[in-house]
Amino acid sequence: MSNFGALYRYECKKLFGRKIVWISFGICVAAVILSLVAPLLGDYCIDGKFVGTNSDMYRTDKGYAKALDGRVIDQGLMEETIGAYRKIPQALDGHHYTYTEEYQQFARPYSEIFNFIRQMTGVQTSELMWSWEPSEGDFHERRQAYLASLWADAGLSEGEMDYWRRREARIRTPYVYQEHSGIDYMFSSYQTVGLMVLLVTAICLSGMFSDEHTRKTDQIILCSPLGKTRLYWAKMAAGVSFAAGGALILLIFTFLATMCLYGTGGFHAAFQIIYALSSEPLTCGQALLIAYGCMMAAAVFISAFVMVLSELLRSNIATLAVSTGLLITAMIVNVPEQYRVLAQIWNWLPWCFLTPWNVFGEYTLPVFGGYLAAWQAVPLFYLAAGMIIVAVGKPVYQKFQVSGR
Amino acid sequence: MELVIDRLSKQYKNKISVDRVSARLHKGVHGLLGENGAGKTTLMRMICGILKPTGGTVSYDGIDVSEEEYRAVLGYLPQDFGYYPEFTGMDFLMYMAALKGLGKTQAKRRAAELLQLVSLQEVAGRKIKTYSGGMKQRLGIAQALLNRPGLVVLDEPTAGLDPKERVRFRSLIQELGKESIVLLSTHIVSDVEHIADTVLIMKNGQLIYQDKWDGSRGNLEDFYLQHIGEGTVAGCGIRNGTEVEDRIGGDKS
Repeated sequence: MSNFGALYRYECKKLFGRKIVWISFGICVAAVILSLVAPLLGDYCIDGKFVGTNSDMYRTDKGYAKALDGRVIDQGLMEETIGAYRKIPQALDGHHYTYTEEYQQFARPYSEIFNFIRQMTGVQTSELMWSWEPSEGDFHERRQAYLASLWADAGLSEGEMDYWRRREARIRTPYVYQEHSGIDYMFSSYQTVGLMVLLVTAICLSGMFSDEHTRKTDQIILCSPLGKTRLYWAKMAAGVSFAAGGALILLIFTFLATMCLYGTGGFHAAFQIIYALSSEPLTCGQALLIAYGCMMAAAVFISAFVMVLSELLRSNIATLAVSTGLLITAMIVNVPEQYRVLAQIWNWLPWCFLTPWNVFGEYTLPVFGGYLAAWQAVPLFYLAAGMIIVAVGKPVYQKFQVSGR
Repeated sequence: MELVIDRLSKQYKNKISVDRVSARLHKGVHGLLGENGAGKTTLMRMICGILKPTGGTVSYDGIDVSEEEYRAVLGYLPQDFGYYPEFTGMDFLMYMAALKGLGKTQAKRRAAELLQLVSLQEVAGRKIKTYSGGMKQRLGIAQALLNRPGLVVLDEPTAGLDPKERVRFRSLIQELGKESIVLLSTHIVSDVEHIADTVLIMKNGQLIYQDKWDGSRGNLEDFYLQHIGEGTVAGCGIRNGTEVEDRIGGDKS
């Protein structure tokens, strides 16, 4: 009998029987809640004077955003926005312009549009406030020029630039503003959630194979008829589904918690409303689904990597040290853009990849005369690499010798 | 039903753990004696296919140790191994039954039988982490018998059992020996004396004695102590492994 199903269930039971799994999930859930609630905590002060709580200010800003919801970002709205900002006095006595009463009264209601124009065009705040003549045509020209300079800095080839120009041309303009604080927070917390998913995967699966070597249970497992063959696949299937399922649960939890706290608006807005530098003709909702898919693919890859490492090193501490070491390295090391190939490889490694700017970054993979964007190429790469790692791990597992105890 | 061990060796960098051991074992209980470090556990691991020999072969009715069919007729109780503390006794047996290829219904029936046999039926639903050492040992014996093995390898099966349980297990092992080849390694010479049909003695990786034990050579403990010492055993004329291989021709390959 194959007994794969039974072995799979028992491997899952072993996993869920480990306290560390529940503890790390609990910590993740607490961290997600904390990261979502934190911006609402504390006081908002100007020049040391209490103006309101952050929660009050959030509600105020949300009210302003709601007032702009559904408005087309055209010549008229640009003029309104810049006009409101020009009420701020130029002489600020060393204060930041946001500390002025004029900003709070006239400009703040348009801050969402002002920031959108600034991020889309790369124009300096002061230039935008004092010398830019609001013009829809100039806005689009400046955006194209800004993107071209960014692509050149990133070392994109002419073919890649052309690919992105074509993608950019498919974006529906003029943009329509939509209140989007909920989905915005989801993208803001994406990197944190991604980091937690990878960390939890590494923690929970680091003992998948090594625990049995440490406990010496391997002796009775490896001499059983299915212990050297089907058990390997059952363990791998349990680990991979645990990682993917865990990531999904955490993402769903983050999604629901964010929706409850910050609202459900903005799913149909153009992705540029949140991530101005992207040239993807996507809505925010589509981009979020893609980003979540990338995170699950990364979790699958990491699970395969950690499990095979667990068999190779035969120690969950060593496995955990290597996995977390890679995560920490990814957080502190940055490969400069001038080393294009190296930077691309580094940014596409799962430890670095899970950020909106990498998932929707400008690097592409040339395939059969066309190009694949990062979010198209990387998940496929993760799944293929995961399968290769699992296949490579099998002979290592089968050839293990119980000796020297 | 025959287990053939042919010039089986295991050599590490600067140590020979098992040195050209040959034997043909048939139905019955075969007691394996030897000092610590004599190579008993290494030999048993090679017989169980979890340690690759550097030389020689092991086969059961012509099936090589590396085959899945070989593992299907094998039941192994290691000297020391860990359980899954969060599993209940029943869970553990069902898991091991799945590993041994038993279907769910068959596994449930067999697990219940064995839990009764090792007197654990009352605590089958309790987590293993609450079991005493003796209970764990009994559970270990139960898992080794799940697949009704033709070849049972028991490394110190009575360690951790109280005297009453030990006596019960002797009879159980004796019963097993009627249907299977049972290779039993132990430090407790009296266990072997009571239940083994054949006695094997290992010293420095070599099998220095292998023969039927009927008590005609006196007390096994004295016999064993003389054997692992430097002296010649009275009436036997066996001095070292090479001589054994030459003299006990009948059971050698």
